[in-house]
Order: sequence, then structure tokens, then C-alpha cells
Amino acid sequence: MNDVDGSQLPGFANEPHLDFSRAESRDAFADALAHVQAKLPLNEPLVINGRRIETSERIKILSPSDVSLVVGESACAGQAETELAIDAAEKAFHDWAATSAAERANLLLKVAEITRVRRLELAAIEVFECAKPWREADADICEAIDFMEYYAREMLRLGEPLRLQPDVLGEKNELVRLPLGVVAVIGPWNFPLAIPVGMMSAALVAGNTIVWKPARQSPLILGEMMRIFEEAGVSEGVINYLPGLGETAGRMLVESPRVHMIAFTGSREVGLSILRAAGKVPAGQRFVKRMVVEMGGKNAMIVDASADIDAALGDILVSAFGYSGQKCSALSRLIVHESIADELIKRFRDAVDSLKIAPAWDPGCQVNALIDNDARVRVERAIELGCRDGSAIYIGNLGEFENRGHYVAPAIFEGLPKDHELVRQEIFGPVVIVLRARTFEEAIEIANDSDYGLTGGVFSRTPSNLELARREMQCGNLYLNRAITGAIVGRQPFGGMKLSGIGDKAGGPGYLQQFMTSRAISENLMRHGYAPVKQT
Amino acid sequence: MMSPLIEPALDEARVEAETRRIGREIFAGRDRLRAGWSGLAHERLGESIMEMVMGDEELRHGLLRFVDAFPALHSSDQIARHFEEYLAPEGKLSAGMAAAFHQLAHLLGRTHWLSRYPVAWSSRRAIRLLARRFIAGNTPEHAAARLNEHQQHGFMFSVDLLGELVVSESEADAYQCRYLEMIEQLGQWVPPPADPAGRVFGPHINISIKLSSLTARFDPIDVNGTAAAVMRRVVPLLEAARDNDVFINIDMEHFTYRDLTLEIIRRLLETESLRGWDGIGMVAQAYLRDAETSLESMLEWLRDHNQPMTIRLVKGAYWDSEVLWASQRGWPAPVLSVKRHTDAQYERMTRRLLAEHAFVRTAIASHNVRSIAHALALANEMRVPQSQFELQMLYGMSGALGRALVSMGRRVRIYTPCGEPIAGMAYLVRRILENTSNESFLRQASHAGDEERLLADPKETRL
Repeated sequence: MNDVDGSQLPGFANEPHLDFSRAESRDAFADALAHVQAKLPLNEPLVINGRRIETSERIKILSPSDVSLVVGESACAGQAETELAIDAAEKAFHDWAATSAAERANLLLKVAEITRVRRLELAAIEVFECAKPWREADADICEAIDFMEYYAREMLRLGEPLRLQPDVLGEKNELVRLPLGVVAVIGPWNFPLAIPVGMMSAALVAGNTIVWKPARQSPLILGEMMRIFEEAGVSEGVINYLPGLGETAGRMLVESPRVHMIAFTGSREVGLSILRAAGKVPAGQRFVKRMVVEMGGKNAMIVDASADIDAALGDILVSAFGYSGQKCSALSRLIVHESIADELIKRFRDAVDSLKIAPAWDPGCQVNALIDNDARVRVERAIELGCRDGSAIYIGNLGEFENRGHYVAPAIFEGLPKDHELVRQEIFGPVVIVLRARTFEEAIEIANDSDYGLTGGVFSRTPSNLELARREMQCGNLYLNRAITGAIVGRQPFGGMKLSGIGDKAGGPGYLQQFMTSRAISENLMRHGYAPVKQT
Repeated sequence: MMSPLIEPALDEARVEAETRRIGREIFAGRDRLRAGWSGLAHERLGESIMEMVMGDEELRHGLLRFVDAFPALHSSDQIARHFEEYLAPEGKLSAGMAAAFHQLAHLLGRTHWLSRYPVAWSSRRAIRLLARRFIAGNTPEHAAARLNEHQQHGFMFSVDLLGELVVSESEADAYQCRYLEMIEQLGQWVPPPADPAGRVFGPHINISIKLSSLTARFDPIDVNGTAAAVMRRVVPLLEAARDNDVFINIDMEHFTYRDLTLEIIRRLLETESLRGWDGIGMVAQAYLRDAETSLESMLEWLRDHNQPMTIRLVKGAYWDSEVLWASQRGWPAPVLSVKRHTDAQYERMTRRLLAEHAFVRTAIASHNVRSIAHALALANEMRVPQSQFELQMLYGMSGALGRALVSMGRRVRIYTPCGEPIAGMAYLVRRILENTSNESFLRQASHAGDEERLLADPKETRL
């Protein structure tokens, strides 16, 4: 494999999304859907040490949009397979860690290139497997490509030893970065390609070997992605694809004394339990586990008295109901200045009533089915609670979609007490809680009155209020006068504060270092009072 | 019946010479009329404000932001606070701004700019005057007096309803009602001109509509769904227009909406009740890179379907936002980056449209004297019948130029928006942006002496 010459590589640029206003984009996407649908059901065995392994236990994937459509099934790793996967990763580590940064970056760029060529097919799989609507599915693939392109370049930067205080004579001081070992990457289903690929490619390019456990709900898209890594020439055992359940495979990975680091994105409950479990040091474990844990949000958007309501409404709809609210960045609390609250709420209500509920493969879909029946039951329960304890501004109607898949119609509530669980806890569905504020300062207080601190937004045309928000809003990603979802790699590095997680922002300059350790090397160059002038 | 037209060979040199001659005539007419016309109070004030912000980017930026926020400000305190934050940050005006506001204060008869209530009062008054310059009234009924005035002065009009962004089906219904009401009643408020002087062809009531206001979901990703939702509301509108002898122009908006808008127009024209009707118009935007290809395919379709059509040729009003959005998305900008390339493409498209005068009525919508003179020269040369050709200008921007063209016996239609101030603000900001841009023809042409440069062939000009 030829090494990449960092100086020849063009600068990072985001992969452009498809422009669906062009007929050729729409036609190509529709063709990809038909092509993938003809291949269903898919089947994905485990991939351990380059070998495909079937298991008797299976994970079945029915389309959330229509449960009569079988999308496919994957193997399901038990204890034995999980041990095998860790073995394989451990054995592969030595050789992989010894490769050059450029070689690893090159692999990642090659994978990005193949992904680019196959982006429509990958997007189509998400449409069926995860009920991602067209635009969202396309954006997810683009983001995965972005992560690979971005971390490849980051590795070329960090792969160079950092020379320290070169002016000091007679000694050479440098900082070199080293991989950690085996990294378990435990991904979510809501950005089924971008997030798992982002975490995994960072671990990979840093020189670690990986056990890659997709979410139970979305193993198939990553099975396809695994083949792309193999096609690009990743060595056996460096990435081990291990679909399985959180309670078995997930738990074993977290507790294993041989797993050096866990990169996790998912629920707060699981995230905190991972942090607790990983804090224990079992006999034979010779390191403290590293953690990157991203756990969600209860994100607020403030609409100030001076806001452009037309502009705000469009972005509120996108932020709250994009992918039916199943994003950790989704708008969940809408905080409205009371002087405009009645007008805004009325228009918001009517706008939500106009959203189209549809299967994700319908290009007009605005509210898609939730990921599975558990999610549906959970969100339906939240809506019942809202009706019981607050006043319903809007409760949608599913109509023909009542029994086809895991659909839940949008709902908006207000008048809930401030410590009510719907105001406090992540709902992860198409539900918005409206809160009124008398002043902008009070709006910020309400926004900050949360355990979470992931995304937040402000619509205002008052410069001093925007300035106040910049200073005071407790969130990792603050968006002013725009939607609060859709962070772009390299442009809006993504990650929260407070109970939203620990770890540096994905798609930002600090992310890759988390997957490495470093060694400061200091060499005395003096021999009997003599040292070379050029100390390299 | 309509076969592809073979363009007759034109004497290029004569067209160019005629363009210059007509251009000079227009400029002379404009200067003559301007000499004896001091303008209305709001026109003078608008001029002064726009003069002030020309060339001062900070002030222009502050003013646009302030105008944009203005409708959301409901108390004097709020207005004064935003005025200060946008236009006098850190409590003091820059020297340029101070001079500018001294002048404005003088115009308004007020002196203490930075005390709260006069600031609020003066801002309200200034913005109301600015809005009045570009927006004819809050409702079509209010605007009727302006429309009657247009007609008395020999102009025709097209009424545009400004409104809030449509985000729900109920708002789309409300829009449809407003359009219907206008179709059915505008004729009573604005009777046909007493002396059409051979200028009026077809209905004198002409209404411009935006298809995106007729559905909550105008999304090109879903052509069939969007088309169905729009058709459900627009077909009854067009039928009512046909029954009331009203002309409907379908406006063009952002580039991402263009192909969908054209597709809906084609579907409308295939609707049994509307097929063959000549009361529908559309727009072509010359600043788009692929404008000529797009126009060509539409002309071919119209010819194949024996469908007469009015086509308004504009340069395009969304240049800034097209460039910004494209940059954010990593897409190539859909618009030409050099102004004179747009001007040159406009001339080529003018020629294509006029060549199809057998079934296309062309509306040259521009304030650029070169573009207008070129179209007039071509129309003469190509013997385009009077009924198949007109000029269009925007309310508040036609001025002496428009009056000069009318006095030359030309058919000039004024695109006249009406709407509430909040809804009108986006439109108002676009107009101020345009009128204070260095690229603006009206700006460049506001002082005498530069006529020859302004009349130069855009193919050749190197600015």
C-alpha cells in the first residue's frame, strides 16, 4: 500500500449532500431503493479475524416503517464469540500499531472513497433498516465519509512527533503518540453509519484494533460497511464486527480486562452503567479504561420576542421532528418569550398538524416510524403522561399508519411542572414541551435548568441577547438563529457538557487524541561536552 | 401548427446601433422628466437613506438588520434599544453614521437622535416611509388607489401579495382565500383605464402568485406530493381567474424551487380546464447558469403542446442567498458570479423569447437601460407585434425611467407588492439590498454622464 503524502492531500472538505431539487438525484435515490429492496432480506454473519461466523441465535430486522417487510437478519454474538473477537483484536494489535500513521490514514481514505461510490446503496439500506427518510439517510452517509476524511488528516498531523523546545541545546525533546490497544466501539442506531464509523475510524487510524458492536436495531448497514473496510484491505482481526445484545456482548466488552477503551454513544442509563463498570479494575487489567461516552440531551430552543418567527418555525420543525425526534441533538424544550407565545404556538401547532407521516421510503415523509416497538411504547407512555399532567397543545393522529409500523404521531404539551419527567428526561420521539418565559434572562435560566447540556438554540434579533446566550447557555453546541440539529464535521464539532457525556467533540481537533496515549522522549545528545549542532 | 422557428438572420450592427440610439433616447427622456419632478416625500426620504448607506458597509449592514427586526419591536424602548445596538454600538455613532443621521434627523424635523422616544418615533416614521416606497398598501384594497394612479399615468400593473412564510395547511388555505378574493374583487376596485391608448392587450387585472404559498410542504424532494397539494389550491384560483378575465403570473423564487415550479406549471397546462388558456405567465431568471437550457426545454414543451405563454424575463432577486446557501452546502453556486455575464445572458434570452413571438408574449422585467433598449431594438428589428411584448418594473423603482418609457409609447407594467409590514419585511430588505448594492444599475445610473458606459454591450464590456 502506498503511503499518503500529507502535503499532497487536499484540505478537508465536507461531502456535499445530494441536491434533491435535481431530478437526477431523486431518480438515482429511487433506483437505489429499488435495487436494495430487490436484495432483501440481507444476512450478516459475525466477522472475527477475517472469518465469517454464523450463530444459532439471530437478530431479526423488520422494517420499522412496515413490520411486514423483513429487511434481514444478523448473527448474534454470545459469550464465546465475544471472547474470540477480543482475542482476534488483541492478536492483531501489535502489527497494526506498528504501521505508519500515513499507511493507516491511507486505508481510511480508501474506505472513504469506496463509501462515496456506494453512498446511495448504503443510504437505501438505512431507509429500510432504520426508517431514515431520504435526506436524513443521505446526510448520514455523508457524515460517515466526513469523519473518515477528517480523522485521516488529523492522524497525519498527530502522527508526526511533536518537537518540544527545539532551541534548548544538547538534548532532544519530543512527544510521540501511541495507540492504546483493543477498543470496543458500541454504536447507536439513530445515526447508524455516521456515529459508529466516526468512533471506529478514529480508533482505527490511531492504531488501535477494534471490536465493533452495532446497536441491536441496526446491524445490517454496518455489515455492509464492514465489507467496504475489507475491500479496502484492512488486515484480519483489526476490525471485528460483532452484532449482539447489550446485555451480553456489550457487557462483556465493557467489563473485559483486555479492552483498553470504550467508545459509546447511546442512552444515559447505559452510558452511566458503562462508566461505573469500567471504573472497576479486575485482576490482570494493567490500565485504567478510557471512555468516550455520549449520552443524549434535553435540548432547548429559545424564541425571543424579537425573533423572526417565520424563520424560527421552519427550523423548529426540522430540529424537533427530523427523524421523528430520535436524535440526541433534537429539540425537546421550546422556550418562548411570552409576548409572542400565543402567536407562535398557534402557528407551530398548525404546522405540526400539516406534517406528513409516512414510510421512510416515501420522499414526502416528514414524520417517520420510530425505531422499534419499545420506542413506540415508551413515547406513547410519555404522551399519556403529558395528557394527564399538562395541557395538550396538539396530539396528532396516525390515520392509516396505526398498525403498519412503529409510528407515533407528533404531540406538543405545555403547562407541565418544571420538574416533571417530560420536562427533565429525554423522550427521543416526536414530542415537544413548550415553556413560557417572561424575559430573555428567564428563558436562559429555564434552558439551563437541566441535567443535560448537549445542543441549544436561540432565535433572536437582539444583539445583546445573542451575546448573553453565547456567554450563559450551558450546552456543548449552541446554535443562533438556525436549527439545532445537523452538526457538520469540522465545522460544528459535536458533543455535550454536564450529563450529556464525557469526551472531546466528535469531528473536532481534540477527538482523535482520546484514542491515543503519548510518550515524552528526552534524549541527552551530549558526549563529553560535545553535541551536534543540528539536533535532529 | 407551431414548428420550431428558424431564427431570421439579423443585422447585428444595426441592432447594436439601435440599442445605443434607443438607450440615449431613454436616458434623455428620463433626465427631462426628472428635472421637473422632485418626487414624493417618501421617495425623497428613501433616496436619502439609501444614499447614506451606499459605500458604508457597516452602516448598510446595521440598517438592514434593524429594518429586518423592526416589525417585531412593539414598544418605543424596544425600538430605541435595537436602534442603538445595531446602529450605534457602544453608545455612539461612528462619524459617518453621525453625519448620516444628522441628515436624516433634519429631513424628519427631529434633532435628538439618541434620546429614546424621538429615536423610536423617527425610526417608525422612516421605516414606514421606506416601506411605502416599495410596498403599495397593506391590502389590495388599500393599494387600489396606487393601482388606479398607475393606470392614470399610462402604466399597467401586476399585484403581488406579500405574506408570511406558509408553514401549515391552514395558512395555505388562507393564502388561497386572499388570492381568490383579489381575483374576484380587484376589478371592482380598479376599473380598466379610461384611455388604454393601444397599450392594453388582454386583461388589465394582472396578479402574481407564489406557488410555495399554496402548500405547507413545497419540497422538491417530493415532486408528486407537492404538485398535488399545490394543484388542489391553484387550479380553482386559475379557473376563477379565467372566469373573471384576470391574468395570473406564477412567480419564480429560489433555485431549488425552479424545476418543481416549472413542473407544476406544465401539469397545470395539462389540466383539462386550463389547457390552451393564455392567461398564465411564468418567469425565467437570467442569472442562473443553466437559464438558457432550462428556457429552451420549456419553449420546446410549450411548442409541442400548442400552448401560448407569457414569460417574464428577469435577472433574479435572490443572488446573495443563492451564493450563501450553495457555499454552506458545498454545491456549485447556481448563479453566474459576474454581473455582466448575467446581462449578456439576459440579452441572449431576450432574443430567444422574441423569436418565439408566435406563441410567447415576452415581458422584459429590468431597470437596466441597456437591457431595455436592447430588447426594444430587437423587437423592432424582429417585427414583434405590440401585443407580444411589454416592459416591467418594480413599484418604487421605476421612477422617471418608467415615465420616460411610457411617454415613448411603451407598454410598462409595474410589479406592485402589497402586504402587512411584517410580511413585507423580507421583500423590503431585498429591495434595500438591491438599491444599495454597488452592482445596482439604478445606483450607477443615478448621475448623468456615464450613459455610454452603461449602454455598452455586456459581451464586450470589461468593468
